[in-house]
Formats: sequence, C-alpha cells, structure tokens
Amino acid sequence: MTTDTVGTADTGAAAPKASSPVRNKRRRGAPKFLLALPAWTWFILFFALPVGLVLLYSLGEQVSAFVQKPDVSPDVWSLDNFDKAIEPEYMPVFWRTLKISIIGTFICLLISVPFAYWLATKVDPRWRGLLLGLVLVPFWTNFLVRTIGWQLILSPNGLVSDGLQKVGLRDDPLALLYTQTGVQIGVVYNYLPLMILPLYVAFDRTEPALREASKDLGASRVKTFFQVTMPLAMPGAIAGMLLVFIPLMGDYITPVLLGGAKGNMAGSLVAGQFLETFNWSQGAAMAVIMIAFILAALIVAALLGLLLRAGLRANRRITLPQATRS
Amino acid sequence: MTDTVSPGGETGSVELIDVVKMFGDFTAVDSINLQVQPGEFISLLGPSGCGKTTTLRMLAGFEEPTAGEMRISGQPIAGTPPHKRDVNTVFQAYALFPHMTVAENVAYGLRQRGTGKAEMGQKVAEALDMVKMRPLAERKPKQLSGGQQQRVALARALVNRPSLLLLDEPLGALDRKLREEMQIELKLLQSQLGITFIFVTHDQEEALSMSDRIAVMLDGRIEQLGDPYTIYEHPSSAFVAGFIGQQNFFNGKAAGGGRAVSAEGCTLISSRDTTGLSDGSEALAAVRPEAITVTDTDPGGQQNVIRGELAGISHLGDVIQFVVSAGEGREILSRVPRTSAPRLDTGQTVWCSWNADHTYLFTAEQAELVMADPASDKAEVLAGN
Repeated sequence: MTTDTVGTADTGAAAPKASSPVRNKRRRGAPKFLLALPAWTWFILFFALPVGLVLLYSLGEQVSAFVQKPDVSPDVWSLDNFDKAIEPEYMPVFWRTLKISIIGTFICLLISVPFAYWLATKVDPRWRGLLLGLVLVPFWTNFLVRTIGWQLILSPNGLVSDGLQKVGLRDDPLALLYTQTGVQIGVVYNYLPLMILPLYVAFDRTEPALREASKDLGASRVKTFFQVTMPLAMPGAIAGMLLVFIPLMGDYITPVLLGGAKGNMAGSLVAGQFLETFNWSQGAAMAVIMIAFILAALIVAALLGLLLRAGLRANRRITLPQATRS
Repeated sequence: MTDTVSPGGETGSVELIDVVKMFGDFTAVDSINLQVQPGEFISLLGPSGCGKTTTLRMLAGFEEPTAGEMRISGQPIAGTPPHKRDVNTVFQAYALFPHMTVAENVAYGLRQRGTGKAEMGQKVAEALDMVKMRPLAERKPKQLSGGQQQRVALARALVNRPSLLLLDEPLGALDRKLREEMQIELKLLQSQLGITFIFVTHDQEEALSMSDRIAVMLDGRIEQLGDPYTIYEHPSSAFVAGFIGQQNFFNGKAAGGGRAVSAEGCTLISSRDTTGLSDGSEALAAVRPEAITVTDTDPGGQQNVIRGELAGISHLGDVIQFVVSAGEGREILSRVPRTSAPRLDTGQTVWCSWNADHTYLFTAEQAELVMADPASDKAEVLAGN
C-alpha cells in the first residue's frame, strides 16, 4: 500500500488528472496512525504492561518464601512494602544511588564535552570514524567482562594501587575495589560512550561559520564556546545526560562487581529481592521508589535547566529605545 | 596601481604585500599585491577557486598567509587572532546565531567589548534602523527571509564600526530583483559610513555596479586592477575581457603589423594599442555584443564586417539581442538598444559590422586561458547563449 502511494506520487507529474481522486481516496482510507502501530504495540507490550505489573505487584503480598508470584487480589492491597522499603536499612541505598548517578553523569559530561568538541571540530574528518570506533570498542565487549576487568585494575594489588606506590604517591596498597569510589569509576567508564555520541553529533551539526562569525565579532575562543557552540549543542548534552543518568540509576552489575557492600546501589537491592529473597512484591515496591527517584531527579533537573536558560536569556536581552519619528 | 602613494597608517587602509597562501601543494593565493585606500569600495572578482575568498579569510584572520605581509590601518596583522582585528565580515550564508533574536545578534559584537546596556540598545536600534529591520528586532533568524537575514548580518557587522568590512558574496543567495536593490543600498551605506569595503563576488555586474575599483583574479593572482570603466573598456588580458561583460571571440592569425587578426572569411582590424602580436602568430580577437551593428544591407568594405544569417532575436527588456549565424558553427551576438533596433526577421541575410576601436586583440597564450575556463560568461557566448 505504501509502495503504491509512492509510485503514484513519483509518476504524478506525468500521470493524467483522472488518477488523482483515486490517490486521494486511498490516502483517506489508510489512517496515518497505522504507521505508528508497531511502535505503539511495542510500547504497550514491553513498557506500559511491565510497569503496570510492577505497580500492581508492589501493592501485593508475598504468599510464602517458596511461592514467587505474590498475591495481588485487591483485598490484600496495601502500602506495607513501601513502608519497609523506606526503612533505614534500605533508604540510604536509594540516596547513594542518586548521588553516584548524579556525580557519574556530571563526570561523563565533563569528560565528553571537550572530547566530543575536539572530535567534531578539530580532528581531520578522515580520522573521526576511527576515533569514534575506538570510543565504541567497549560497547562491543560484554558488559560483565569489561566490568570484571576493572576489578583487576582497582583491587589493592591492582594497576592503580601498584602504580601509585611505585611513583611514591602512596606507601600502602590502595583499596578502590568494593568502595563507592570504585563504583563511581566503573560507571563513568561504562556509560561514557552514551554521553560522547550525542554530544559529538550535536557539535558536528553546529556550523563552523557560526564560530567564525563569533570570533569575527570579537569573542575569544572561550567566549565563543560558551556563547555560541555550547548553547547550540545543548540538545546533545541533554540527550547524553538522559542516556547516562537513567540506566545508571538502575545499573546493578557495576555496583555488584565493584561496589560490594559499601558501594551497593538500588539496582542490586531490587535484584536481590527478586532473585534471592523471592519477595517480588518487596522488589516491585523498591523498583517503584527507584522510578520515583528518577522522575523527581529529572523534574528538578528540568526546572534548574529552565531557570538557567531564563537567566541566560534575561542577561542577553536588550531593550531598544522607543522608535523615533524617522 | 603603482602610482598610489604609500597609505601610511590611515585608518581603514589595507595593504597586501606579496601575500601567498598554500594549502599543501596547492597555491590558493599566489603573491598578491594590493593597496586599498581608506573608505574605498573594492571588489575581488573572479571565478570559483581564484583565491578571492582565501584572500578575504586571511584579512579576517581565519587563515594565516604562508608568506608575505598584510597591514590594516598601517598595522601588520600577522598573528593577530580574528577577535582582536578591527575587521568585521558579512558571511556568505549570513551565519546568524540561531538561538538569538535579531537584536541579540546585532548586539553580539558590542557585548564582547563590554558596552553598557543603554548604549548597546541605542547602537543596536541605530544599526537596525539603518537596514530597516527595527520592526523585526525580536524575531529569530529562522523567521526571516533571505533578504532580511542579509540585512541583519550587515547590521551585525556594521554596528561595531570596523575600519574594514569584508563581504563574502553576501548577495549570492538573493533573487535578482532583491540583489539589485541591495547593491544600491550597500553602495549608499558604504559612502555614508566611509568604511572600507572589500567585496568578494563572482558576479561581474555586481562588481561593476558598486565598486570604486575591481581586482579581477584568476588562479590566485590579480589579473587586472582598475576602476570599472578601465576594466570594461581596457581589459588587460583576454581573460578579463571575457569575464567582464560578454564577448564575441574570433580565433585567427595576427596580420597588418599586429593590428589585425585574419579569421576565416573575415579580417578584424583594431585601432587599439596591442602588444606582443607578430604577424602570422596565433591570435584572438574580441568584440563586445553592444559594439556590433546588424543591418540588412551590406555596409561595404572587407574589414570588421561579417555576413551571416539572422538565427534568433531575443527581447531582453531595454535591449534586443540578435544571434547571427556566420557559418562554420560560428555565432555572433549583437545587442542593440530597443529604441534604435532595426526591424529584422529571422532567416534573412544580415551584415554585422563594428568600429575598429571596438576590436580587442590578444595573443594566443591568453586565448588558451579564456578557453580553459568554462565558468566564465564568455563560454556561454561561444555556446550561443
């Protein structure tokens, strides 16, 4: 059907007028939302439905330690699971997750912005593909394997510790493995490409002539970057921050492998409830809290962003004097 | 233009001394010398790849010359970054900042210098008034037409009152009528402000209509530098003759003591000064379409007369263009003011004739140069336009 329409459109100039009513009729006959049907199906089956189930389970009750599926009939609905999830035993983990995610996102941003800018504007186009490929190499490696690789680097007799001792910066072995710092390093490594790619695209799209115009008008390189280049690349930065922050909040492989007990994150908490304690309801409630944390963080970030933009705009704004008769 | 006095340190003067720019093995600008007077409107005119834009970019500071010296207002500018030069540029695609309003775009240069808000508002308003864009000050560039964006780009550059304004084919994207209007406005603005303009274009009409002087460029060199009248009336080379305005070209052999070219079936006599032509050598003669008269009777004589068949009549508004087919695939163009055009019909036998002082003679080496450049207007003439 689609091909039909395209065919008619292509030959439209040569085709006699008589064919146009048919074409119009066909167009009317195929509602446009059909094009979005696969996406909607996917969205409902793999997003709305599972999230709905998680919400439902979070209200339910664990039947016994041996039955995984909770009882979710309306008469047992309660918020008990949530009460338990915010107990002092668990709550610090959620806050730690938020902290690691926010710091991780910002470190990724700080590393990616100069790198992506350099790659998009300074590097000879012939080498860009290769460098982008190198950025992506970790992605071709199994997530688990490359995180285990970091265990070797971060352990007390690993690369970092040994190196620091050799150059004399430390006298005793440094334990980064199974600490929050270890997790922080691990997540930055794991999520960095997700920040670099959208930023690279954004910088690549900014016209070189705009940077030249800025310098031509008296702005130094640094001023040009902050007044022209970065504002125009903001969509890329926002996309990158979302791509890093959201999966990072739910990551559980990295904290399990590099964090141990001290670097525990909400993801491993939820996974533990589902996979070890077999308390699906409790796990679901924790997952809901995690989602709430993510949403709250995004809302706060969006508000701060809007505030920042309004401030910058107000600062840039100029009022012209009233027009005179001429 | 060696007769110019050394401009010293006057604000707005520009000097290029033996400037060379290489990109790898490619010589984009090949030892250019140019002296521009303060307040002068000078055009760099040439086909694409002739080095005109590179020259402009070197003045703006986006490229550093490989060799030679450049001075603006008497000061050497080598090593000075673009943002520290007293020069502003109007870019080819305008390069307006899309995230800023028209007023903010115009204010950009002033803000970099730390101009106070009140003064900034005043100056921006003046600049926008100058290009008649005040009512659209709050719009974003995306909401403007090409002509309006052009005006904003001009205001954004001029608001800084630079000693030198560089314009990189700023009218190229506009339609013909708008372009002609802008040409007049630009010229008026320039004479009001007294700022030196260096205008890069490949459009010879544009260069002729606005410039005080034109530098015709080819292959990184300046072919000829002169005022529009000189460039048009006394082209120093066949390339300049072909690039500026239109020409009918005739290949042949020099004769008559370097005063004539005998082409197939006719002899073209020139009363102009010609150099370097020895009898019998390959030569090229050129006659402008507007110098040729078409008649339905034989004007007599053997020289500067060609008999042919009238192949086409085009009405170009104020002029009528005749295409005369003179055999051997040779077509001769003639342009006659509408008011003095004879009544002729296609297919009839006509005679093309012109005065000896309208025949330009060039040597064969120069001829090759013209033939090698298909981008010039001349190629269209040979193809019958």
